[in-house]
Amino acid sequence: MSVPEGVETEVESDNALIRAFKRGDSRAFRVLYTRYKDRAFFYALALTGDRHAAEEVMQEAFLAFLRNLRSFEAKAGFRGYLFTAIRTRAIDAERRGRVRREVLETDRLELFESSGTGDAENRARELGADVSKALLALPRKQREVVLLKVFDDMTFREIAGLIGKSENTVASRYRYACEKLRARLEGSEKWKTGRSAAC
Amino acid sequence: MENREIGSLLRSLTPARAPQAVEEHVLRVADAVVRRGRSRLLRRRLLLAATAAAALVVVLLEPVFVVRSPVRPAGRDTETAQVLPRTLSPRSEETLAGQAGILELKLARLKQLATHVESRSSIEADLDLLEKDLKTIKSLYLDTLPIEQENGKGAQDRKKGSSHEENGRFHYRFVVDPFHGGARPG
Repeated sequence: MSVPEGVETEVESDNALIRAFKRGDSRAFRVLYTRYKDRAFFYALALTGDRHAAEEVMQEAFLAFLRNLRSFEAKAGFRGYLFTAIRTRAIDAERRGRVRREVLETDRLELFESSGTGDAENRARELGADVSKALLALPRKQREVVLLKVFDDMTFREIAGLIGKSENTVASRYRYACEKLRARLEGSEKWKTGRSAAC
Repeated sequence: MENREIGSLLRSLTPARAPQAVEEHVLRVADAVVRRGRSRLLRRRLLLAATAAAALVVVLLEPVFVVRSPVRPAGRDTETAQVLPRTLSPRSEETLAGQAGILELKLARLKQLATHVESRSSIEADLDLLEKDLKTIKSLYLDTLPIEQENGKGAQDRKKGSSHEENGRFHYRFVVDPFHGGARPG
């Protein structure tokens, strides 16, 4: 299976930026950071379920790249490196008890942006809150597959490479995750409203 | 609801954005990395240039001095060599003056660059030694160049700048420093 053209271009472009940064062009790193900061933070936030831990995990992942810049080899691409670094740190944080599931206030954690005061915005906000809860209720292994697939447009193969599992396992986790999300969201009035509005 | 619809629903939402505080910190560290990298690069170039300059000093010295039997005095780690002056032809003196002038300019430039390098003390020490070598060469051979060179007078005048004279022969001691790479007056 070949790498999609867009992804290949992005990897090449990332590598060009890293080469420029290694040569002393600090602007290149800013471009790279801007390209990935929101995706990285969202991934960290959804994995840890804690805003403070997510900030720390994301920051640590970028700093690890900066610390290891000289030995950095872009075989897997920057995105793969960054997401692996975030994942490893999020799991470590969870193991070390920095993110305790029992004290997480996932009911109040918002994974999505919401702004505005109109009816449509209020509905979007409520829908976002429901989806946040539904996502955070998933087991982490299933949640991360959904995040990478949906928000980072990764293929099952890329996700499998990132988390070190087979493509079949990744596809199964995605299917289970979608079934759970469906069960949870189909009971949501906002979803029904949003769906009918969309239709 | 199909999986595809779930995906569409999730994509319709705007994921939370990265906080500004993290960005500021990460970019500050990145700038520091670039500064350190530049400094490291400059340092490497300076070391290469300083090594080249040291080699040039040796080249400068080569036509000027004849090194006799290196000796290691008791109780000292460094080797000393008895160095005797050659008599230079006017052409060699011109060449020497030209090389010394170039080296002087290079050293001035290197010293200027060294001020931009972090942890530069070792480089500055090397450059100081090179400068000292150059001054020695100039004071011994170039600043006292005789105008007339008849009847070996030039060679006599040159001896005026010597460190000491013994049994009618000029002795100038150079300590061979393996870490410095060149020769410096002992």
